[in-house]
Amino acid sequence: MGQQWAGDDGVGLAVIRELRRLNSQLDLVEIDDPARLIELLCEGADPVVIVDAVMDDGPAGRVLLIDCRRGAPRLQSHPLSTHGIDPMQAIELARAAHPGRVASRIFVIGVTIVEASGPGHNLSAPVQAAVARAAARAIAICSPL
Amino acid sequence: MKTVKTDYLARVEGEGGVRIRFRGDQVRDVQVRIFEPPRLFEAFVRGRSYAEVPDITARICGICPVAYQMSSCAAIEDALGIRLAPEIGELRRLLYCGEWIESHALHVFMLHAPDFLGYPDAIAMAREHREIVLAGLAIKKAGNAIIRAIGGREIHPINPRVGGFHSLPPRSALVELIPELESAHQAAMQALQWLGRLNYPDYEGDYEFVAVDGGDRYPFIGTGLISNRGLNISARDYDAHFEESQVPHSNALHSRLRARGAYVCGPLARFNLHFDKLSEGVREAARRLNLTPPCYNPFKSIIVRGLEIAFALEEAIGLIRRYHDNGDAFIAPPSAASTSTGYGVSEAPRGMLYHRYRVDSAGLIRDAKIVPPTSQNLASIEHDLARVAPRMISLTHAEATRLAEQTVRNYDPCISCATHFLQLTIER
Repeated sequence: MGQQWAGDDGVGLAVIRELRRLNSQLDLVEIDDPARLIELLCEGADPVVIVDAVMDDGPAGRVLLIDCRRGAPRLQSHPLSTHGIDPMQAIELARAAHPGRVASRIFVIGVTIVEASGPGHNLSAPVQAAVARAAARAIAICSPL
Repeated sequence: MKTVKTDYLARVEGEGGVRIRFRGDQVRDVQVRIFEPPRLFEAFVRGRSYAEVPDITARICGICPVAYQMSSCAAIEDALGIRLAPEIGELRRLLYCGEWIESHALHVFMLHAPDFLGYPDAIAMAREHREIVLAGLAIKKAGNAIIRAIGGREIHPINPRVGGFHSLPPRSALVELIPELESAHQAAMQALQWLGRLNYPDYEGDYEFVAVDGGDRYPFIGTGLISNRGLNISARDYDAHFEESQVPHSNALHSRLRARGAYVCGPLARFNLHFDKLSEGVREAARRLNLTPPCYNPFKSIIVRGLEIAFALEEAIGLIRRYHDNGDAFIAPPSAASTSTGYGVSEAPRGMLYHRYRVDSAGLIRDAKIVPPTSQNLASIEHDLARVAPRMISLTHAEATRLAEQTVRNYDPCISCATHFLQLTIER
């Protein structure tokens, strides 16, 4: 998830590009709208890995893994979304609206950023450095045991 | 002194907050605070080609990118003297219908409806009102489908350009949307009945409503602005009649009419100024809900959004049926002979969106001004909160916070857009 021209808010899309570069066999979908996520969670893919920018009080460039199998916790004091609902809310809304149809295994890989939605194509240095680690994490989650 | 404070204003786009301070039973101060980092888009487009502006400004907002594209295209086309073919204007109107549908659906069913039923969010509401939430998601999906079919993708469409579109969508791709749009329309009309059963606070404001003048049609894109207090101007005269000012507590500028101060733009303004241009079916639905102009209760804006969803779906179906894909996708802009300034106004889902650009002879942007609807409504939002605040005296902190948030959400504020510029603080 992310926005191309919104600086570090585009990290999710950068991870998608990295996965394509690695010829990943994962089914990759780019979305900007968490509401679209509600539909995707019910389309049969399992596990589902969501990669998105997150903001907390720490430094940028960390890769967080959030296991949402037993609920989607709030990651920060306020959602990092310009769409009124954030990915965590989208997950819970999907479960409330479509009980029994939502993927059983949902993970969020959050790459921490400091500032969202500034105009510009490029990621900041620490966030760019986290892209490869986030991609590796996604591959590891989806690899068969 | 009592102060009502909400640290974070939930269920609005972006980040914002409100602080209300009481002395005894008297409201001393109301501030709507925008603490999102100030956007730099007006400066960012300077020095860039006019051709890039629609794509850049679309990034200002993820929920109303079409509005930014349409206002920016209109302003640049005005500067370059481009007159669009009527068919292109109709295709832009259709694209805009898609945005109204998806944006209003998100706000009505996911963000605002929970307020009226006492739920903390749409998730809680979905557990007991599953069907209405599913209807809202289906309606939103229908709006997104229009945007994807014409714009190339749902978010930040890539097909609009100065002079028209990069390519015309095949008629077949639009016609195949009709069943989904008809189903969404049926859901929207049923949802109106549900909205009519909600409890609405008894409150009226003394507003000047401002909207785009769409001629003989309910406005999406136009060339002038009107109000219920006599304003009737060309978009070119915007700066002569409106001004923006910085307030200490917010990154977003506050807009006002030079002659009369605060005003309101958005669905309630459109409804009050252009009710007769809605379809007969939608007007009749409004009458059945005992909602006819003039309406000065901002809490009923959620019903108006529901009516506009139904109207936009009807309008979209009609536009698709009349659409043909055998024309030119765009008019090639002429080379600019000299520096020129252009003005564009359109009705974003949240209200009037004004763009002004100065384009030099090399086609580069020398100056830009972008006035989003949310910043235009900020003064009225603060006024509403000041009027509603006395009701908070007898409420718990949590109840007062919900009332304040509900009041702000009447305007479906997009804090991300209020840049060119929210955390509710109620201190007791």
